[in-house]
Amino acid sequence: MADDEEPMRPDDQDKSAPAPKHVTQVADKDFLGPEFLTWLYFHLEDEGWDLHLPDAFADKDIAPEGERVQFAMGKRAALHPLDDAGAKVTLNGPDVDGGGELFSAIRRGAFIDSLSLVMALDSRVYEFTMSSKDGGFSGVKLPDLFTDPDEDQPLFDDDKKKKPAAKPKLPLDAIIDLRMSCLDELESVVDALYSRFITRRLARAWLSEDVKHMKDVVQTGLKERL
Amino acid sequence: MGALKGSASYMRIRVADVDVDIDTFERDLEARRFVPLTAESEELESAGWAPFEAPYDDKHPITRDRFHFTDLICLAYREDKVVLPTALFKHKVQERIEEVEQETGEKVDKKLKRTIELAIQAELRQKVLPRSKVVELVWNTSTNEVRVFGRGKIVTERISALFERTFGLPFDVSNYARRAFDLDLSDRARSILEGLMPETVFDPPPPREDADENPFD
Repeated sequence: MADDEEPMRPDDQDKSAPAPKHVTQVADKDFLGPEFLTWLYFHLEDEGWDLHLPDAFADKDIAPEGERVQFAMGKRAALHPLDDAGAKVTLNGPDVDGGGELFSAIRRGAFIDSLSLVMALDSRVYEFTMSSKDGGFSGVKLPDLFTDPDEDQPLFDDDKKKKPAAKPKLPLDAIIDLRMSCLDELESVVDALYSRFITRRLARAWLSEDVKHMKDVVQTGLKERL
Repeated sequence: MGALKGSASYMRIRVADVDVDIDTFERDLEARRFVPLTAESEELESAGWAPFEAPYDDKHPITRDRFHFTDLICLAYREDKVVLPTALFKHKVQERIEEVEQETGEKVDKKLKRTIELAIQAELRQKVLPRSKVVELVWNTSTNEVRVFGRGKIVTERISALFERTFGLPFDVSNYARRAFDLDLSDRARSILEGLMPETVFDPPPPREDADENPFD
């Protein structure tokens, strides 16, 4: 204790029971959410937004062709420094990562706090926003399972999408089953990506390879935009 | 928030493994079901479980055929709250106090003021409809995960408390930190995870030295 610091009064002392070990352990690792979303953006960028993800599909009968998942950037991203000290940067619009603001925010020490993505498994297209804080999803648009997919139609182009077919009237249990199966599929992809991230994050090469790579991409990206 | 239609926003919650006993669930849900507020009720808030597919059906019980679908337990949490317009409430109370003081010629004391407030609250209560919030939950008992179609404190505090009281199961938000510990990791990887510290990609710029300086000094 420093000499000039007064001792705590008895009624100031925290006598509450300490939180169980697993609770404090989890609370100490809240940084994993923002680190994951930031890594994910660069990982998708590296892989050309088209990933081979065999781990995501336990049931090979419903896996997409070649167990490949295609992604596109959604219309929203928010960034924030880990220590909550700096300003939050929110990017909206059709070309969220095109103007260099995302790289600039990362260059200033920010991590991705929420990230909107579009994801296609064959013709099944999902749109969603991931939150780094609670691990939840918002604005999840599930695929249209009732319109026949059009081979010539681009997966991620809203303007050229076929008019959806009228949805059949289904019983309650069928609606629940269908919608929950879609969410299971979305979560299995995100969980497989998260598992991939954790494997990288715990490896000795995290700093020398992954972090270094992210730095290089940001610096090159910013230079190109100057 | 979209369990049954529209776009979905939800949190993932981890619960402990449980032996599903539908008889007990049915009884416990009925014991903590939502009770609607009436114009006569003194309470201004009410919360509890409601039928998943018809959360405003206050007449019929939440029977197993309405919440149990194979491995899924589907519920709605409903809370109603009457919010009296504060300015109108204060005005009416003041008006009534002045009337009483004129009639009796005496100043209204604290006890009488409280009686007047309760009377005005009951009068206004007749005219104000409760505000209703409904959050859907889908609990997959085979994966021990609950999807709660809502966000924020309504989930982490109020639904969490009701769920724990009803089913006796702790309700842990499955955020990324929690999910890391749920992964099937080797002992070595787990020990690295336990000691893991945040790493920056780029360090934030240091705060400007002149940031706190008064420009007029």
